[in-house]
Amino acid sequence: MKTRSKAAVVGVTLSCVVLTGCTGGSYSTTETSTVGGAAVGALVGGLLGGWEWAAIGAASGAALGWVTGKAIEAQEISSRSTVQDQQLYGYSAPSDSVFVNINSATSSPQVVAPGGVVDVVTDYSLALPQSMSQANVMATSVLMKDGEKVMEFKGKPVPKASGGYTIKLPINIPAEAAPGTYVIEHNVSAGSTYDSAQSTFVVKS
Amino acid sequence: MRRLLAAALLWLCLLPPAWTQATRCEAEVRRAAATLGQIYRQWPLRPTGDRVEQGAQYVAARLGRNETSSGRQWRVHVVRDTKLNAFSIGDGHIFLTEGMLRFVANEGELAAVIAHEFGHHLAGHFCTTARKRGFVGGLFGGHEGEGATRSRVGTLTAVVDPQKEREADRIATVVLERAGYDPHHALELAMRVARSGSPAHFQYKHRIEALQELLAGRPPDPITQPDSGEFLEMKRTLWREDALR
Repeated sequence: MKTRSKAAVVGVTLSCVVLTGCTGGSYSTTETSTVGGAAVGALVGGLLGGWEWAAIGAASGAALGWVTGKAIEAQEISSRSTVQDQQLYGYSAPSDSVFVNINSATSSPQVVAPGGVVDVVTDYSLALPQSMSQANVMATSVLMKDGEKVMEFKGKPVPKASGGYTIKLPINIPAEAAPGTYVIEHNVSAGSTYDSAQSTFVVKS
Repeated sequence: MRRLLAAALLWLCLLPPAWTQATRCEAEVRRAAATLGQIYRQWPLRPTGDRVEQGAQYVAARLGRNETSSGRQWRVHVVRDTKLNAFSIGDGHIFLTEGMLRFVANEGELAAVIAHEFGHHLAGHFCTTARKRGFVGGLFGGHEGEGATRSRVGTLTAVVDPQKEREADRIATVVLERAGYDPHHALELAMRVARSGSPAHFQYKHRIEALQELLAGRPPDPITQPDSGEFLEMKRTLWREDALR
């Protein structure tokens, strides 16, 4: 079930090169503190590969900016034509603007052990003016714990045709991940519109 | 024949008076419900009760305290769109884009935007014009012209009638004044939009003259009222979100 985000945070891009089918891509994580950029500790943490480390660093160190880290494979796991999308969600293409709308945002499994994998799945609809065949779509995700940004996953805008898309970002949970509830902010933007939704998962001790 | 005449008289008596229809009508409620369902399914809206939506709703509630006679519950929805836009679908439902909320310089300007939408409602524009599902009225933008024009707003059809825009502005100045806002905020906003170069600015250029006429005999309030905490929190939330992008 979709839960709309209270805060719009743009962080990551999960994107695919082609419009249909399951396509892998290489995506990087970016790390920023909530005020002013990532800290030295975040850089170290990011390079170490654990977002728990990165979070601690970001919260305590001086702001330096962002850091690119490990590559993450994002996948487009399904797509729908405009007609299929219309049947599913009653979505009709507008004639004057680009419209994007998240239909569902989930993280699974709901409970995961350190060292496991959480699939962050976002389903969205894209409507385009009749004069446009494609629009650049940015699908981003931000990982948060206790209200603080832990990590964001960022890629590139990808041209998409009107219709519906389901994308998946598998996140490896570090072995040293702190137990507790984590929030994923799913963000998709296209044209002048964007949508945001949240999902959660629990890392057990 | 006498029975037929009596029945006709009874039917005429049961018809609501014209002013009732002008404030709210069954067709408006029905159309608004259908359009609202369409928007909820298709549009990216901010969640109900978040700080941005709450800030805008606070201003609408302040304006609405004096506008209860029409029987509407005033409800503001915020669209996740960076464009400058505001519109209504009837039955008290007002839509503001985030672009508009970022653009307004103070609470008075936001009140002016919302009061304009009140104006469309209170003038009965949703009872008289549209027959089509998906009608949107009171749009800031669209094409300028002598007569009404239709355009698309996302997945909906918008009707922009310069006469009705002016009528909504006229009512808005009264609504603003009743709620304690300086109606000159409407003029200031119109002038800023006209200078902004946004797609809405053509329409605003023509509305400025009408607003200047309306406010000619009323000097601006000498003391600027401070913005409410709700409005400032709305602005802060938007700034924080912008900073994260």
